[in-house]
Amino acid sequence: MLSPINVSMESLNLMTLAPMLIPVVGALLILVIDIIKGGLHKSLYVVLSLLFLAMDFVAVADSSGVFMANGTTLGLFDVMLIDGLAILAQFIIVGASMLFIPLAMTHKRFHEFSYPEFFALFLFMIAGFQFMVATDNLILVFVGLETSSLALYTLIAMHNRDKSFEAAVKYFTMGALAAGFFSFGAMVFYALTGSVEINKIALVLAANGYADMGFVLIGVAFFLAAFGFKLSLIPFHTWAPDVYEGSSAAMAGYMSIVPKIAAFVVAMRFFEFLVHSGIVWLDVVLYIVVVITMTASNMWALVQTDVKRMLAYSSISHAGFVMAAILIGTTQANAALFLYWILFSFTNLGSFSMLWVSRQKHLPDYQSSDHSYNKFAGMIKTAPIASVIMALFMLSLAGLPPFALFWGKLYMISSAVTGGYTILALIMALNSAIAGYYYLKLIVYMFMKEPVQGNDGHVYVANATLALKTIIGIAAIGTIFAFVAINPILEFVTAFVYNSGY
Amino acid sequence: METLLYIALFAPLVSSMFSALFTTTPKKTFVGVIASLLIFTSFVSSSLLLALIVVNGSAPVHVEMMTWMATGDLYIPFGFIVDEVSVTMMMVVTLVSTIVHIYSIGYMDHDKGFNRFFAWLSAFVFSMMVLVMSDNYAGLFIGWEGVGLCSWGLIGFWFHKESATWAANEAFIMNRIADLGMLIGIFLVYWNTGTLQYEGAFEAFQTLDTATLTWIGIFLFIGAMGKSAQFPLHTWLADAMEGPTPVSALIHAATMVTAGVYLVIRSNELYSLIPNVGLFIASLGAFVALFAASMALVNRDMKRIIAYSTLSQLGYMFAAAGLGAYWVALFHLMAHAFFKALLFLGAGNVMHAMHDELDPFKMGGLKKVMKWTWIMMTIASLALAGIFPFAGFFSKDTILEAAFAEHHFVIYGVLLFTAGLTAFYSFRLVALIFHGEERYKIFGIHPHEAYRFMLVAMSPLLILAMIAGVLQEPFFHMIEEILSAHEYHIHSHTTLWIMLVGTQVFVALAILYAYKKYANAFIKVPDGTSAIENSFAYKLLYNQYYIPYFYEEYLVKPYKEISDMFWNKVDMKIVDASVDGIAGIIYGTGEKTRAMQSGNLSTMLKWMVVGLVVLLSLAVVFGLAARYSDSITVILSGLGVM
Amino acid sequence: MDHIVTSNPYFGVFVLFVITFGAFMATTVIARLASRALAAKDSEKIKLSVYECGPEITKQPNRVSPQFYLFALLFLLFDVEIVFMFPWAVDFKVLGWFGFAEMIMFILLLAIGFVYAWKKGALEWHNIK
Repeated sequence: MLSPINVSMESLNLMTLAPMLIPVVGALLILVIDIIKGGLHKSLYVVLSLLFLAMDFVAVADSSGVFMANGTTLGLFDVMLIDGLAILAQFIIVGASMLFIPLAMTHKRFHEFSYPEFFALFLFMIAGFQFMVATDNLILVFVGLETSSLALYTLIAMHNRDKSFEAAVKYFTMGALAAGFFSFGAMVFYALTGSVEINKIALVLAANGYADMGFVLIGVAFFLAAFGFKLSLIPFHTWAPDVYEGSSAAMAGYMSIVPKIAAFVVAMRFFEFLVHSGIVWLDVVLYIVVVITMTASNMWALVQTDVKRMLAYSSISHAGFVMAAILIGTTQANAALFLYWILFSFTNLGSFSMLWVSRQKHLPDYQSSDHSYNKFAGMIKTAPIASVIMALFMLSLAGLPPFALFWGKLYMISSAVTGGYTILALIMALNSAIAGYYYLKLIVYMFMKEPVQGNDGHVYVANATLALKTIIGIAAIGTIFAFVAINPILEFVTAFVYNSGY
Repeated sequence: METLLYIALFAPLVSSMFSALFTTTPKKTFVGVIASLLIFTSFVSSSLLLALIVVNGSAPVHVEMMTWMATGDLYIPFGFIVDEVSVTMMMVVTLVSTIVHIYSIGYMDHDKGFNRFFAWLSAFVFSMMVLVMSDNYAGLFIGWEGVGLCSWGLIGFWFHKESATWAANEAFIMNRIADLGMLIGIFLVYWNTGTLQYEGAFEAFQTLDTATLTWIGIFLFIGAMGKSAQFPLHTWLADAMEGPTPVSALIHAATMVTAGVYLVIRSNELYSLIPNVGLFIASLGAFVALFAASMALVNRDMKRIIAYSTLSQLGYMFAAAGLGAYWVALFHLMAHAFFKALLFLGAGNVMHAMHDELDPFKMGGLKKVMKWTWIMMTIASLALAGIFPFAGFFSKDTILEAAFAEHHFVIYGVLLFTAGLTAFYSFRLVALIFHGEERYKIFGIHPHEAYRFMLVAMSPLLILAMIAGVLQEPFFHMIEEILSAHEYHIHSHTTLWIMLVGTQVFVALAILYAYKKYANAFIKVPDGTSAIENSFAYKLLYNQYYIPYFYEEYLVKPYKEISDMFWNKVDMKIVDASVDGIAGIIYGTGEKTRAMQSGNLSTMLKWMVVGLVVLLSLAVVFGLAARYSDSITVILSGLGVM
Repeated sequence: MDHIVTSNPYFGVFVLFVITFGAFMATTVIARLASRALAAKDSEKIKLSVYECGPEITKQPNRVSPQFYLFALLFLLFDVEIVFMFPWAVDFKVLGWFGFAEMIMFILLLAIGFVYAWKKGALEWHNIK
C-alpha cells in the first residue's frame, strides 16, 4: 500500500501558474457570459479580452520582478519553469495580443468577431503559448502547442471565406503532421534518456558523452521538422503563404509574430545545449536551413503580386534571419533575437494592420486579390498620411535607419560577427539588401504611380475606426522612436537572457 | 546666474517655436512683437550676465545641462559657458537681434511670410547662442550647423525667386564643404586629446607636437573660412544678399559670418601654439581685406557693396586674430557688428523707399526725403572708414597698430591701403544715394522715409557706432582675464602720432575724393559706354575677378561633365547593368522555384516529409559515420584519401 | 497453473491488446457477413446505375452525416475525461485532499464545457447554433 502523499502548497509555487490562468479564466468568463446572455456587441468582448490581457501582462511583470530578485523559479512539481526566456516571451506574446485584439473593432462587420467564441479561443490560445514558453517539460510544451494550435486553426477558419477554410484545413493537417513529428522526437529522447525535461535530457546526454549519436540526431531531425513547421523554415514553410492569405490581415500579422516567438523559445531551450555540445551535424544543418530560408523566401517575395503574400514571404525571411541567433548561440545572439522580435512585432503588426484597414468587402475590377500591388498605386495622392505610414513600416522592415528593425538587424548581424559567423553575417546583410527591393516596390507603387481610375482613396481607410487607428499609431510611434528605447530594452533583454543561462 | 543663462539661451527658442505655430496663418503683428520681446528678454539676461561678470568679477558661469552622448569612451556633456568672450558675443548677438527683430516688424510689414520670417530669425538667434555659449566643440558645431541651416532658410526666404533659392543653396553647399574641414578638425581634437571640452582640450594641446596641432588648426580654420566667407570660399556672401535686408544685417554682417572669427578667438590657446598658421591666417585676412574692398569699388549693387565691405572687415578681424591680437579682433568684431548692422538697416530703408531698387546710380539726392537714414548711414560709413571719434577708429586703428607693432609691415601696408579704399567705396555709396541729382525721378519712384519705430529701433546702433570707442579700455580690462591680451603701444610717440594723423588724413582724402567724384550733378546712370567701364581693371573688379566665372567654368561644369560621364558610362553600363543582372537572376530564380508553392495540400505535406526524410537520412549517415569513424578512417587512409 | 512469469510487467497488457484486436476484427467481420446474409437483395440495374451527366462520380460508399462526427467528438471528449478519473478513484486515499481538490476543479471545468455544449445545442440532432 502506498502511503498518502502530502503536497505542501508552498512547494507548488502556484504563482508561476498565475499568468496562464488569467486568460483561461477570462475565456471561461466570456463563454459563460455568452451562455447566460447571447447576442452582446463585440466591443464588450474586446474590452473584456483587453482587461484580462492587461491583468496577464501585470502578472508577467510581477513574475519578472520575482525573477530579478530570486532568479529562475520552478513550480507545480517542477513542471513550470519561469526564467528570463519565459518572461520575455510572455511579454511579447501578451503585448502583441493586446495590440491585436482592438483590431477586431473594424468599421465593417466581419463574421468572426460576431462570435464570442472568437475571443474565448483567442484567450485559450494565449494561455497555450504561455504554457509552451514557461516550461522545459516536453509534454507540457506539447500540450501548450496543441492548445494554441487548435485554437488558432479555428480562429483562421472563422474568417468565413473559402480561402480561410482552405487555409485552416491545410494548417490543421500539416500541423497535425508536425505535432506527430514533435511527439516522435520527444519519444526518441525519452527512450534515450528516460526524461522529458530538457535540462535532464541534456544532463544525461552529456553524462554518457552522446554515445548514441545516431539516435540523438534522429530525434533532433524530428524536432527540427516540428519547429521548422512552426517557424516556417524551408522546406516546412509551405503552409505559411496560403494560411496568411486565407486569414484576415490582422490575424496574419498576429500569426507572423506570436506563435513564432513561442516556438523560438522552445527551439532555443532545446537546440542551445545541442549547439553548445559541439554537434557538427546540427551546426551544418541549421546553417543551411537558415541561409535557404532567408534567401529563398526573399526571392519568392520578389515575385509576388499581392502585398499580403509578399509580407507573408517576408515574414518567413525574417524568421530565418532570427533563427540564425539559435545557430550562433551566444548570449548576445539570443538577446538580439528577443530585441529583434520586439521591434518586429511593432513593425509587422503595423504593416498588416494597414492592410487590414484597407480591407474591402468587394473587390473592384482592377484588383486581382485583396491587397494587390496596383491597389496601392498612387496612394500618396489620395491618402497621403496612410501612405506615409505604410512607407514607414516598409522602410523599417527593410531595415533602414533609424527605424525600429534597423537596430534589430544591426544587433543580430553584429552578434553573428562576434560569434565568428562572418560569412553568415554577410549573407544576412545581403538578404536585407534583397529584401529592400520588394519593400521599396510597394513604396514605388504608392508614391510614383498614378492611381487607378475610380480609386478615390476611400479604400485605404474603408475599415478604419478609432481603435484601429490607435493601434496603427502605437505601432508607428514604436517604429519611429524605437531608437530611444533600444538601449534600455537591450539591457533588459540581455540581463534576462544572461541570467537564464542562455 | 544659471537661470539667467538658460533664459538668455532659450528665450529665442521659445520665440521661434511660438512663431512657428503661426507659419501657415496670415500675417499677425503680435507674432513679431512677442518674438521681439522674447529676444529682448534674452538681451536683458545677457546684459545682466555681463554686469555680473564685469562688475562683480565673478568667475565664468559654467553649467552642464545634461549628458548628451555617452557611448563607450565618448562622453560629451552638453554644457554651456559664459565667460568674458562668450558674454561679449552674447551681447552683440542679442542686441543686434533685438534691433533687427523690431526693425523687421516694419520691414516685413507687407510680406506674406511675416510669421515664418520670425520663426526662422529667432531660430537663428537660438542657434547662434548655442554656438557662442557652448563649452565644447560638439555644441559649437551644432550651433554652427544650426546657423547654417537658418541662414539657408533666410537667404532663400523668398523662395519663389530663382536667384534666392540658388543663393541659398550656394551658401549652404559652400558652408558644407568648409564644415567637412571643421568636422575633421573636431575629430582630430577628439582623437588626440580625448575630449571636446575647450578646457580639457586646451590643456591637452600643450603636450601635443606641433605637426598635429598645425593640422588641427588648419582644419578648424577651414571651417572658419567657410562661415566667414574667406577667400576662396567667399562667393556665397555676396550672393546671400538675395535674402531680406534685416537678414543681411543680422546674419551676414553682424553675427553669423563672424562665427569663424569667434572660433579662432575661442581657440586662441591652440593658435598661439602654432604661430605659423596664425601668420597664414593674418596674411589671408589682409589679402581678403584688400581683395574684397577692391571689388566693392565698382560694384553697382548697394547691398553687395556692403557685403564686400563686410568681407573686407572680416579680413581685418582675421588679420588681428592671426597676429595674436585676439582681443582686438573681438573688439573689432563687436564694433563692426554695430555699424555694419546700422549700415544694412539703413540700406534696407533705402530699398524700401526705392521699391527694392538696388543700383545706387539710379538714386541720388535722397537726403531730402530720408534725412534720418542719411544721417545714420553717413555716421555708419564714417565709423566704417575709421574716422575719429567713431567706433571704427578705435577698433581698426588698433589692428593697424598691432600689425605695425608686430613688425608685419606688409600686412600693415595692405591694411592701411585698404582703409583708404574702404573710405572711398563707403562714401561713393553715400554720395550716390543721398547726394547729387535726383536721378530716381526718371524711373518714377516716390521715395518715403521708413516708419518712425524702425528709426527708433536703429538708434541704439547709431549711438553705439558713435561711442563704442570709449568702451575700448573697459573692454580690454575685462577681456584680459581670459585672452592673453596686451596693449599694442608703439614705443615712439612720434611714430604713433604720425601714424594716427597720417591714417586719418589718408582716409579723409579718400572720402573727399569720393564726394567730389560722385556727389556732383553730372553722374549719369552708367550705360556701359564710358571709358572707365571699358577698362580692364573695371571689368576685372566688376566681375569679381572672374572667380564665380572660374568656379562655374572650371569646377562646376567639369564636375557636371564627369558626373554625366559616370552616369552614362559607369553607372548605366557597368553598375546598373550588373545590378540589373543580379536582380534578374534573383527574380528568375524566384519565378522558377515558386512552383514549390503549388497550394496543393498533398504536395505541401510531401514537402514536409521530404524535408524530414532528408534530415533523417543526413542524421543516419552522420550517425553511422560517427559510430564507425575508426574503420572509415582506416578505409579512407587505405584509399589514400586521408 | 502458475502465473506466466515474464520480466516485463506490461506483458499482460500486451496480451490483452492482442486479444482485443483480434476480437474487434472478428466482431466486425462477423457482423458484416451476417448482415450480408440476412439482408434482402434487390439488384435492379436502374437502381444501381449512376445518374450524372458527365464524368462518373467517384464512389462514396458510406456518406455519414457530420453530426455523427460531432457526437463522436463529444463522446470521446467526455469519455476520455472519465478514463482520467479512474486512476484517481483507485488511488483516492493516496492522493488525499490535494487530489480531491484537483479533481473537483477538473470536473468543474468539464461541467462548464458540458453546459456550453448543451446550451449551444450540440446534443440535439441537426440543431447547432
